[in-house]
This record gives sequence, structure tokens and C-alpha cells, in this order.
Amino acid sequence: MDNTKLPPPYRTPRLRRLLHVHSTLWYEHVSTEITSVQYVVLWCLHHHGDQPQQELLSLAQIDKSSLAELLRRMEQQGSITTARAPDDKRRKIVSITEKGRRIHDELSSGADLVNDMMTSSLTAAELKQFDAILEKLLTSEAIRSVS
Amino acid sequence: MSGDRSYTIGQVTMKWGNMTAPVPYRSLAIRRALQAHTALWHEHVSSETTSVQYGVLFFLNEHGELGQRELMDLAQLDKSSLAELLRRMESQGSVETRRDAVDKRRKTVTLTDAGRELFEQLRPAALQVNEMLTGNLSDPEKQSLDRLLAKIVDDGERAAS
Repeated sequence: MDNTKLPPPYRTPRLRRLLHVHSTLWYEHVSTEITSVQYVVLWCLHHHGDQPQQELLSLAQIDKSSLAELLRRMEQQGSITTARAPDDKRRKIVSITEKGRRIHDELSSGADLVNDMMTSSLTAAELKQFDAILEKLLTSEAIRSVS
Repeated sequence: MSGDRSYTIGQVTMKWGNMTAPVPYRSLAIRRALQAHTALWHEHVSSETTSVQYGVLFFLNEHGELGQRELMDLAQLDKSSLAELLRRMESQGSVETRRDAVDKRRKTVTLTDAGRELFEQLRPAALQVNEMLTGNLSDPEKQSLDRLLAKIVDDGERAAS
């Protein structure tokens, strides 16, 4: 089948397969316990410091509906803590724990490896192009309206 | 926030509002694009028929009767997902599966009249959402995206299998 002539409704199956490939590689090379979404939360907290829940949601590109469950599980693991903001009780602040930092450090080389493996068939120029297109795609009005 | 920090791997810079936060993992961008597609689909196309089910309707409408194996390749699904999907769609009454008369091991799938009607009904909105997802891109950029995605996925699956 000529993949470049797929009819218009079919860009998403390939995106879906790409994520599936990513999960398989992640499971094999990084961790079977910590998911890539959890890792990204740790990464964001490690690199950007404590975050209000809302900022973390944007930063880690997490689906709103899954945030509460995700944070609850990570708190149970002992990799993060959450606390009410002293100045605004409605806001929750998320922080990484020492254990969370250890997990981050342990997984980071595997996470970087998988990130590179996923696109290893592209040349450096193609990769740059791919990232630029993805970035542009995500800033569209339609996507912002539902994100 | 260190918006001017640079990362050597997978630098997709995420922007929202006035803030820029580089998170160097491409899977985020891909997951977000899919989440956006799901949300747009739900809003503009259907809350009952998923885009994956629509894909199956599309190919059956295009090709008429298909073997399960062929459908798997066309709709880019794995065996167990397809089996589950077909079971659900059969109980909805949109597809029919039967054993091939000649080769008993081969299962074939066809659209029912209700399935064809459902497909026709969803098609305009499905095309619209697909265009919305890439509404920011020029035609050459869309072509590049398709080409690069194909290259990444096909090779990636080889690496992961």
C-alpha cells in the first residue's frame, strides 16, 4: 500500500500507532512501573520546580480528566507531594520528593534513548522539520479550543 | 521558568498564553495531538461512534468485502483490537462477519445497510475534523507530515517488534 496516498480521514491511525510504538519501547527500555506520563511530570517538577496543578497540567500536556488520578497515584508512590497554596486555598501546589528525584535520575537516560529511538529513521534535517510541523500543528485555533 | 534553556533532544517547544516551556519529549506532542483529535471528534462528529470505528466503516465502504487480515492492515489495528472492535460493531448492526465459503479459516467483513448509512452520515464532519487538526499547516507541510510519520512509524514498529 502506498502510505503517502492515504485518504484524508487517516492521519490519526498513524499517530496512534506511533504512541503505541513509544509505549512498547518505553516498557522495554525504561520502566514497567513508571509510565512515560508520570516520568514527564517528574521531569517538569525536577527542571521547573514546584508547580501549581494548573501549570503542571499545561507543562506536561496532561489531559485534564486524568490529572487527579495521576497525581493521586504518584503521591501514593511517594514521588510527589501536594499541598494547598498558603495564599489561595483553592490552588494546589505539586512538589517532587527526594524519591521522585531519584526515580527521575534513574530513568532519564532511558527516556532520552527511547525518544531518539522513536525517530531514528529520520535524518537530522527531517527531524527538525518534523518537530517544527508538530509544533505548528499544536498551535492551531482548533487544537487550542479543546486543549 | 527557564524559557531560553536549550535541549538537544526532541525539542518541541510548547507554548500557551505567554509562557514557553520546552519539554524535550516528542511523545507529549503526539499524545496532545491525539487528545485534541478525540475532543474535536467528540464535539463535531459523534459521541457514539469512535474515529477508529469510523475508519473501519470507511475502508469497508471503499473496498466492499474485506478479509480481517486486510482490514487489519488498512485500518492499522492489531489483531485483538480489531476483533474486539468488530464484535462491538456487529452488535451495533453496522458490520457483518462471516467465514469465507472457500477458505474456512478466512473471516470476511462487510458493511450492512445501517453501517453504510452511518458512514455517509458521519463523513462530512469526519473530514472537517481531519482538516481542523492540521488547519494551521500548508499543503506541503501536510505532505511532509504524512511522509515523515510514515517513515517514523514503519521503522519504529520494526524496532519495537
